[in-house]
Amino acid sequence: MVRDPARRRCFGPEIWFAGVAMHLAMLAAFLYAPQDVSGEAQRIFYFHVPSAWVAFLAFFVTVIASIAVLAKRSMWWDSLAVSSAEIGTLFCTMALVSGSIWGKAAWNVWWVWDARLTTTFIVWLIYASYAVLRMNTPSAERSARFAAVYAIVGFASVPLTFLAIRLWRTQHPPAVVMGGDGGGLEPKMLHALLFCVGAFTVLFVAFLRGRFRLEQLRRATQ
Amino acid sequence: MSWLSAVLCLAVKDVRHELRTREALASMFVFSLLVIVLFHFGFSDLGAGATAFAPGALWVTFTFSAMIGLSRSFAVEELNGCLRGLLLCPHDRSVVFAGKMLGATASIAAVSTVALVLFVILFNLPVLSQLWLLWLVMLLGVVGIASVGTVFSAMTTGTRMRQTLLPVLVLPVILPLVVFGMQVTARIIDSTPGGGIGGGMLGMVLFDVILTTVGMLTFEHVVVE
Amino acid sequence: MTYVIAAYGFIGAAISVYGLAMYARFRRLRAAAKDVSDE
Repeated sequence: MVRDPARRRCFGPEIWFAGVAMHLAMLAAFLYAPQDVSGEAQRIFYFHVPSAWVAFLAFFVTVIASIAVLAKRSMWWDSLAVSSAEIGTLFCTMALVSGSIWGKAAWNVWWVWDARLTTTFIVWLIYASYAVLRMNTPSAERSARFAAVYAIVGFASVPLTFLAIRLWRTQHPPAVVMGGDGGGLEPKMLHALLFCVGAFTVLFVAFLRGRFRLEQLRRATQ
Repeated sequence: MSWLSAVLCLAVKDVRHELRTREALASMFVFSLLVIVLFHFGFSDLGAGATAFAPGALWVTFTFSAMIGLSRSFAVEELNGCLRGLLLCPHDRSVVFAGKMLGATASIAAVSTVALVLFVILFNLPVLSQLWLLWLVMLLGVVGIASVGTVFSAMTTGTRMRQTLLPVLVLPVILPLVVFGMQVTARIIDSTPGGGIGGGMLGMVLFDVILTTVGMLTFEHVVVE
Repeated sequence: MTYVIAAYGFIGAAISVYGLAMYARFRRLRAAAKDVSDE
């Protein structure tokens, strides 16, 4: 990374690439993908699923960075952890809101307690608790260590959360079943979805880099 | 001193302290009673009777009284700088973790056992023959809550918002355990034939094993001075 | 259809606001850092 913080740029060239990709993703979602039997509202899925994907990807990055923080006692990795966590929170919020809107549009319910959406909600809660923990730990070094531990423990619990709710749901079959996002997709829909996932991933990387540089600058100038 | 005897020594010290001062045990117990009363008045209009809300009420009791017990777990050490003394012992950090976890499990389980019995009596739950199974499920839950809670309790003694921060940190992480627990409890109370509690109990055991391992591995990073 | 606009609108707004806020904060910090290093 550049030595002199004042000369660094916030975003690299990847942000332009991300911008283009996101616009193309919108085109893919509305023009390339055929309309689903359930109506126009189904198109929300093309941005809802990638948002959730990035939320989980960001969590994964935060955990990897957290392990590195503990193993190497490195604040560089801590900058990465906090950046990824913040972006993850953003995309998780987007996933929940878009999921809720889609539910309302397609099945007239604002919320469904199915395994995927509920697990996403729990991930959001873990992100929020992570932020609260960081806010309340005054020492930077402790904040890094504690947050790292929390991220790792939280990450261990998430797959179990999914399993628990899955088990719960098989015993309490829901009245409404949210559309599958893997089974029974037409090829064109799958292409569009994959493209959107790719675009969102590029956006994630661009934001991550920017947020990381911002964090490094913030720490350097404190 | 072997690892096991060091762990037991620490756990016994904590339990003895709780028995002597009775602070945490008393508040946990009173809390359980309050939950019983509240749930009765809150849900007594349900046609199905207590069996409908008993699993939820029970697990709310277990979980939140565990929060009370856990927040004291490390606060106790803070008072006379005891934590530093503990850390100076010629054993690795896993002893402190295991000892604290065991002590917390014992206290919480004791209160939860009383709460469970009271629930069964006050709500006339038809489960006397299955009480041992309910108790076992409760214990599996308490072990998991104690493992996660011990790590986070050690964390929050250093932070500003101690008592409110601990539930915020613990609850999202122990959710699967509580969901499994409520599921299994409900099936036991309903005496659903064909079992179906195997999956839930396996889930709880899995949670306990994974989270205790992760907790033990990460604990040393929380108590570094 | 309004639901689709609401969902995409929310996502678009969230991304844009976050990106711009990040950029603005970076510029402010960089300017402050420059002031200090110029002294």
